[in-house]
Amino acid sequence: MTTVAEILMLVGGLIALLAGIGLLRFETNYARFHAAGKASPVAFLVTALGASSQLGWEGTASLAITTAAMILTLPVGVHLLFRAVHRTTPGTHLRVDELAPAERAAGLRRGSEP
Amino acid sequence: MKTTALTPRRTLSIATLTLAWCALWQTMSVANVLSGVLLASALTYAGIGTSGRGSIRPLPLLHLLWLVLVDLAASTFAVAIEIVTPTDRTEEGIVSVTVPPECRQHLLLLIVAITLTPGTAVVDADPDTGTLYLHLLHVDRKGKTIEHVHHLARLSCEALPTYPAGVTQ
Repeated sequence: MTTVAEILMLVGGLIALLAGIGLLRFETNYARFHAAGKASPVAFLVTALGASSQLGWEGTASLAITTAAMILTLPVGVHLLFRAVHRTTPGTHLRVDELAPAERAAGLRRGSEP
Repeated sequence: MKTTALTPRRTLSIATLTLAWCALWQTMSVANVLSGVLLASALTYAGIGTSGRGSIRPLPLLHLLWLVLVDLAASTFAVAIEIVTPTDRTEEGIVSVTVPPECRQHLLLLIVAITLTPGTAVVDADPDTGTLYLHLLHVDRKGKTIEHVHHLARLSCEALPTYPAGVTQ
């Protein structure tokens, strides 16, 4: 069981490392949020799964609550970051932007978008 | 009129909340279980966090949870591939998807589920029109993504109680 736990924690660490590399490697804010927002809950989930087999009922219960809270709240946080970036920076790299006309119609200011 | 009966749904809510309470205290003692049941009963009877109407259908709910978990694993894999691939093949775009009117009550759940879908994230949402604005890493997959969002919306409608327009919870 220890070996399985160690492998799971190693995999979790590797996913977190990949998310970190993604933050540096991707060129746009949106793509960076994808790296941070998708990989980190999985990294936490896998690491927690490995750790819970070593921590017993008390530790597992805490990790289960923390994991549930993270999976439920992180997507909302990522969504707010996406929205903030869209409203404040020009999205010239976007091939399609169907939100911009709706924001302009609602009078929401955007960065220096033409 | 608010019902005071101990329905299966209310029993399940009390059991789940009691388990969460014990998990927070990290001990399954008699005192924790009793205080948990008391607190959970007070919360459910006061109507906090639950409408007490409609029904939750377990099979569609399990299907939805399974789909979200698969999406989470697939999206992590897809993003990992993007990260380790030397060429940047991303073609980003923001597209709009309109959710069917009966599913607009579960917009927050949809936002969570969609954000865990590969290459997709919700940039903005209009609850009045039920429009979600999605950022796609690969805008050429727009059709597939819209289909997937509608599938998630249908499942959330089947799994969770819905109310006629104008009726508040």
